[in-house]
Amino acid sequence: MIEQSELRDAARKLLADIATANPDETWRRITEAGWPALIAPESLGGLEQTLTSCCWLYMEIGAALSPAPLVASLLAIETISACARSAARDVWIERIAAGERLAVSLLDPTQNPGQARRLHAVLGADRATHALAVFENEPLIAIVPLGKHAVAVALPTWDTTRDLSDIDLSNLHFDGAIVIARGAAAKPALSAFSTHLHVAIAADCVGASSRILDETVSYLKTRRQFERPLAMFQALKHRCADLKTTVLAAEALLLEYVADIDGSRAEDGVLASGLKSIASSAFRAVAEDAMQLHGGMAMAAEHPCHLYLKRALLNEQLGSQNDACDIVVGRQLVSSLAA
Amino acid sequence: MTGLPDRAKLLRQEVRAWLDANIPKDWRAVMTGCSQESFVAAQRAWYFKMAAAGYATPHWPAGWPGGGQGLAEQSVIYEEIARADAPRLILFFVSLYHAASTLLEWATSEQAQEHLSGILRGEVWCQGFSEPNAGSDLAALKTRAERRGDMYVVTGQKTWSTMAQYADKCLLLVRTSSEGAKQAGLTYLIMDMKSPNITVRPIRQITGDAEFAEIFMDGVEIPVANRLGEEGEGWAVAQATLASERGLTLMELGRRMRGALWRIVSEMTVTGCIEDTIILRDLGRLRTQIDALGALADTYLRRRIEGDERAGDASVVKLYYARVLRAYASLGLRVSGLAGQYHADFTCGGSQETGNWAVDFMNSYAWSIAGGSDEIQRNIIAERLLEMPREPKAWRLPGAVT
Repeated sequence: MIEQSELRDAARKLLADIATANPDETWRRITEAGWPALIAPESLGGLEQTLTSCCWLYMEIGAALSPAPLVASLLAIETISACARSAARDVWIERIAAGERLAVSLLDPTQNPGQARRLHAVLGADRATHALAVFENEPLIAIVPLGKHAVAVALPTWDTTRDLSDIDLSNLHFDGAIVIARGAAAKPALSAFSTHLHVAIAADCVGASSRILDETVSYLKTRRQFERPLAMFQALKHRCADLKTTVLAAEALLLEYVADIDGSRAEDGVLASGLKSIASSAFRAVAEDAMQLHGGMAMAAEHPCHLYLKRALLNEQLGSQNDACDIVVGRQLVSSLAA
Repeated sequence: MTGLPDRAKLLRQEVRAWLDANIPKDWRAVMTGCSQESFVAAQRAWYFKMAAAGYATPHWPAGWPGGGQGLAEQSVIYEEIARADAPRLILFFVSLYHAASTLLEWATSEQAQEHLSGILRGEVWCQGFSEPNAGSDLAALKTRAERRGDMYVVTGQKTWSTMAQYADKCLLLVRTSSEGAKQAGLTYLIMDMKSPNITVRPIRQITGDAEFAEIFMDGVEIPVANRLGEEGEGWAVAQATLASERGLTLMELGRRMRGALWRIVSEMTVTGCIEDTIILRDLGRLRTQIDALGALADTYLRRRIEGDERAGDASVVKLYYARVLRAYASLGLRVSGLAGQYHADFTCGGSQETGNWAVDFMNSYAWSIAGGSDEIQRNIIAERLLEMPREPKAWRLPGAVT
């Protein structure tokens, strides 16, 4: 068991070290640190760590606005690990754990009805030879080769801290060679994907919002107007206190939820949707106020404030969109009370 | 951690069965629009049952009835009490939390033994902190205690004192000195409410209820033996009382709110908006916020138990609770529509969530104002947790001659 605080400190240091490195160098260092192997079983070259450990890394990646597509690797391993054992599955787990890149959509499959053969908001397509395909309406988990029949088209987003693509798979034949699980056998993997994705986005949001709030508070302490630091004005202090409370609530929920999963006390994917919604709403609220509290500086491209705002806006759309998440939670509550 | 889910499950069944067998039948109907005497009698009867079963004091240390429970067990008990829609022990709220926490932290072992036993025997405690001119600026309080031999003689006025009209004892914060910093002149006493020279006057509230009162003291004698901490240490002792309200009580109240979510759903059924996606979205959002509140309260208590509590942590829990409680009552009120605007009698001991939505909404202000207003909590969070500078103390009217 890796100590959480050690993992977090090491992650922060590594991400600071590679802040200006190119994508290949970034990934090389991350692989060296063993991050893609974090949750894979030891027998397949993994470290067998918990979802909580993943969260500490996701939080640090969010805080650093890192482009590192770690979530793609860990999501892929989590998903195919939930499929029945097969030689193909194990080989893929080993390859991904060892650092081979896989392109993975960051949308919840339930958000893509009727377009079963297209992947949206795919992370990591630039350096991957294969993509993970997760489809819901005809439950299917596959690892498909990128190339002539599956072309990744980069779609620049306002958030420049990550590279997303779309992949059209309509010309691809889903045969036994690429399918990992199908039908009822794919269902557990679908929910594993969904839960891990929502937790990962929530953790990214919690890490990023804590960091930009810290930066904002530091700025208010330094910046002087009317012969005093801005941080002395109650109007601004109270906003920061409200934001801190919002962030701490999301963080507490995140850590309690993943601790419950690690302790096998909960596997409720609906709660993960709620978690994603509350965390990304918190991130957006903090990023918006960070802009306002930085004043004119925030409008200058050289200041990182806008990068947090743009990442926050994109995060709201990834996984399931926030309103959809909340509706799912509301419906589940109503039906659980009717039962 | 293995076996914990089973233990929690067993405890849940045990609590549920006990509640089913013991909750006073039709208590809501009986407690709606009832007299004060029947409210007090019903609270006492329910308290003795709960205390005997150990469900009134699961947050007390081991050795006391039902005490020494872990967070998971406490959480189960509070959730079940809420789910069973049991009366809240509102008459004993200050006794069980504010008084107990303060005693456990500051009392001598004789004092603790005497007063905690008293609480278990049914003593009602109240809190005498706020004064007409000392609200958010609590340390500016003026109620004066003069030492005469082994007695303090107290003169002054306290206000917003919950359940003071029924109380046996009062946690009293008084001024023993006007020298130096205003906090340094405060002392913490336990006042017997049956002493001579005390007048209590209930305050009629906006809901029609009268849960709190003013206390007038005109030369009340309090033995020095009833002092907690040293003379001049009152501000530090008072922090224990306030922290219990800001952190500890919210574990229970958060679980109660979670357990009371069905009230909104049932209102949705009544008003025919059970399929309204906007309401479902807001209901889902509220449910997640209540879960986050629970996690925040748990995190706070874990830190406290491990000795990692930071100044300001308790304020975060209280500020968030006040926010979520307002959202709860507000959604209920919204769903109830016009029907929620017709007057209906309040329910005594009904907790924050009674389903009388206008009353619940009005009562939610108690949590954003009492026990240190939201604005005070924000100051504490900003100055202690975020280490933002305090405002300069000096202040004078523009143009005033110095």
